[in-house]
Amino acid sequence: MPLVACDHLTYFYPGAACAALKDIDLAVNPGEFVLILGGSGSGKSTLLRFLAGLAPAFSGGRVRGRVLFKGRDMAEIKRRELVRRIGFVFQDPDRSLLFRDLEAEVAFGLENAGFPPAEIRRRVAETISALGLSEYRGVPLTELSGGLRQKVTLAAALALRPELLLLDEPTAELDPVAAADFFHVLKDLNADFGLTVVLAEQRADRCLPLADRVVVLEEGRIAWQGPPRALARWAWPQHAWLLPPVPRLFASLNAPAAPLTVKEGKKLLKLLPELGRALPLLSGERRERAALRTSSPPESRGAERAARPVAVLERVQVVYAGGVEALREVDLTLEAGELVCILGENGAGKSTLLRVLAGLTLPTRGRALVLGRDTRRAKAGVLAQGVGYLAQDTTAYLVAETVAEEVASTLENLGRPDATRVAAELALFHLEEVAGRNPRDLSLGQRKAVALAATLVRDPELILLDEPTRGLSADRREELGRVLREYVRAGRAVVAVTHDVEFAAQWADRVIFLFGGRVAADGPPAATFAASPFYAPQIQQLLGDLFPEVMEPKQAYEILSRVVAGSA
Amino acid sequence: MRRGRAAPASPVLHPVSALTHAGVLVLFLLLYAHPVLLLLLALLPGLTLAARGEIRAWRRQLAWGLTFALFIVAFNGLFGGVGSTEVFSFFLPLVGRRTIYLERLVYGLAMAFRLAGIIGAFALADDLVDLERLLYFSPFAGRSSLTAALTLSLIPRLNRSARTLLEVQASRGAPLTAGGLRRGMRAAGPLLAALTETALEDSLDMAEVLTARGYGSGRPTNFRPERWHLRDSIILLGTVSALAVGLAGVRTGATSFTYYPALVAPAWADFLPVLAGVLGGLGVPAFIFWGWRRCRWLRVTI
Repeated sequence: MPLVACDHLTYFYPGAACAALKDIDLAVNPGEFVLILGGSGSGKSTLLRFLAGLAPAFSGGRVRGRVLFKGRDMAEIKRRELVRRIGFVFQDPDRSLLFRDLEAEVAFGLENAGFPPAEIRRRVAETISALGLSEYRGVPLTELSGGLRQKVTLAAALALRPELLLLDEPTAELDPVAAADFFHVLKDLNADFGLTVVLAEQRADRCLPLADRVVVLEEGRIAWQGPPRALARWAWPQHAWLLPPVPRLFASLNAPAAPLTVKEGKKLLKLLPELGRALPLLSGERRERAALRTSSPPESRGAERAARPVAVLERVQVVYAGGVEALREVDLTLEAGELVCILGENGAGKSTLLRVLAGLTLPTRGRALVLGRDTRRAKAGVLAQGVGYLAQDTTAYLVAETVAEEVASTLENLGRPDATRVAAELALFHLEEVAGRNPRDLSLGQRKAVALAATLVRDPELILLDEPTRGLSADRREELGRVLREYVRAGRAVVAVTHDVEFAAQWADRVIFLFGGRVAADGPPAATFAASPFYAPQIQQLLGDLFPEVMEPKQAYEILSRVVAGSA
Repeated sequence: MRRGRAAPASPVLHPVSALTHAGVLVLFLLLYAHPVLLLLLALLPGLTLAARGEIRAWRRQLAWGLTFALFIVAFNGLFGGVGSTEVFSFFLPLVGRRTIYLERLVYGLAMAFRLAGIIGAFALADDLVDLERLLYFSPFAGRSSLTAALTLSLIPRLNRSARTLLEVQASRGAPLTAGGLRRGMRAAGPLLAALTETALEDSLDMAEVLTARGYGSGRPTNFRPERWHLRDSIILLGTVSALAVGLAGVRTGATSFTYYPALVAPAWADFLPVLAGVLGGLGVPAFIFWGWRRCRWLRVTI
């Protein structure tokens, strides 16, 4: 009997004409690891909430069909029993944590479920110890890194020893290293304890190898489900954006099998009849020639760069109230016509650096010159003429009654209304159909698109984006990359703070690593990633020995095709 | 993965002893008028936090306290009562000639100490007691108490949202900051509506998290009932002693202080024993926290 099952589930949010879930038939077996993939607004979060018994009890709306837990209708099971059996981890740990104290946080669910105090004490101690959190007892949760805070929310869910663990994009806010660590814990829980896991993600990069089954949602419907190795065969080429770089490369090469990890990819590379023979024989000179002849060699990026600095930071130090040193002696020059991606762990000072460039945070020491003005003397309102800033919290951009008004208001604020420009921007971000709707009624991905359109519509000289790809599905990320390159071609400078290594590898001219408030590395993506293997994109990890400058599946495909054709 | 070093362990206090201590401190800050006593009482929460190793909390508190102090001293210096010791006088546009009296300055300082002390006392209580848990399991409050505590936690969230909203709109050239008062007033309406919507969305998120974690699904248990230790008895004894000495001081006039028309202080011989009693009694937690970090015997014993 499945642990949890949806029986022809169809669901409409209150007042919605279109169903958020359409005829979902899904059974999750005990001990299974199910990965739910899909773009923004595809229904992943809604489905998880039904599996947790939170919808429709919490959200309201119209429902057809049933959700069964161990064969019993979920609607008939008491909340307390559901809490004991089903754990839920939300996307943003900051919105999930209720207490300052680790033990109080982990114990909260157990207390609500009515466990005896002695049992709670034992479970709290065990869970904290099992997840490696013991050393953080007594430390306020607000002082922990994002990765650790998300681990605490996982501990709070696991303390109840649920039979089913549901996770809604739990690593969306985490840096690559913390995300890998989180998935490692999930893998152990599933493999060693047989915990049933249902994980919803937009991107399959790191979690595809963990899954027993993948379910792809598209516009509220199950578009496909099957084992992860079969995903590439189904997804290529129409849904290629769903695939992580390594399986995408091998799907493009018509490989007989679909590797899920870099290790499997390396092995398969040797087994492919033509490549297995050709690659070991490839001389250094031929390798270089192959790399140079790709359609988009990395060095062609940055050709638009003009020797015209748009921002200069001179020994910038930022110390927040309470003594936290967010930036230390940062020297940086940003030039027109370059796309710079800033990476680093949570709390490294990336967002602070962006705020300094936007004139929203003033340096405690040092000087920030943006578009020729010292930010100490030019307020954000004045800098707004030439600087476009997208903050992480995109709800702060949603003020107007409609999407069209929201985008138009940016130009009106600056005294240059332009309906044609607004229409073009709406089209660029696929917002024409929702132009008349309230932006707050849209999905997270669409909200992000509105905020981006409202930021870019005025065509600023310096574009500052804080986590621009968060909440965007892979296809929309790709489009955003293209849009940003257009701005760069037009001589604009783009600075994006991101945890999205693949995005940076694909689109950036320059990558900066920030650690502990200092610039740890600064240079072209290929060389910078090659020197930082923990942050390297998958394709570079796969082919780094032969072609260290290759970082994206398309480039890799072109090079490997040449190798096979013997033209390299 | 964590920022900073692990905080050194510090003793947990029973809410009764911690809140009694904070309550008596606030009472004295409200009762007393003597500037020296107010200054020392204002410093006490900071010293206690520092002894606990929470130096950052003290710095934050000090920054607030100094800002308030400056404002109060300046305001009182200009507009306070008429004293008898003239320091200097000057002309102020729209207001006219103002005379600065010593009495006004001292009174302003005393009020600044009072305010800073009260802020500090609340900061100390907040640091010593997990108020959310206290409310949640308080026998005097029902389940709605957690809702009340979480509503309070929404205030800083709302503050953060408002700041982000204003920054973002300023960076988009919104007239709130760039187009004069009238345009700014007109633009404020939609911003307030957006802020309210954000607060509502936050509240819904919070309610969903609470539901997912079983809040309201039945009678909860409490895994960590607060324990009474020897240190709580010592702190309570010190606090009660301070209360007795302090109230006696009020009754005998040993802590009185007159500001206007001239500064009149009680005799030092009457004042100092009360000062020592009050500070000695209320300083017990600071001594315990200091000793706890340095003396193993103390840690084991209390």
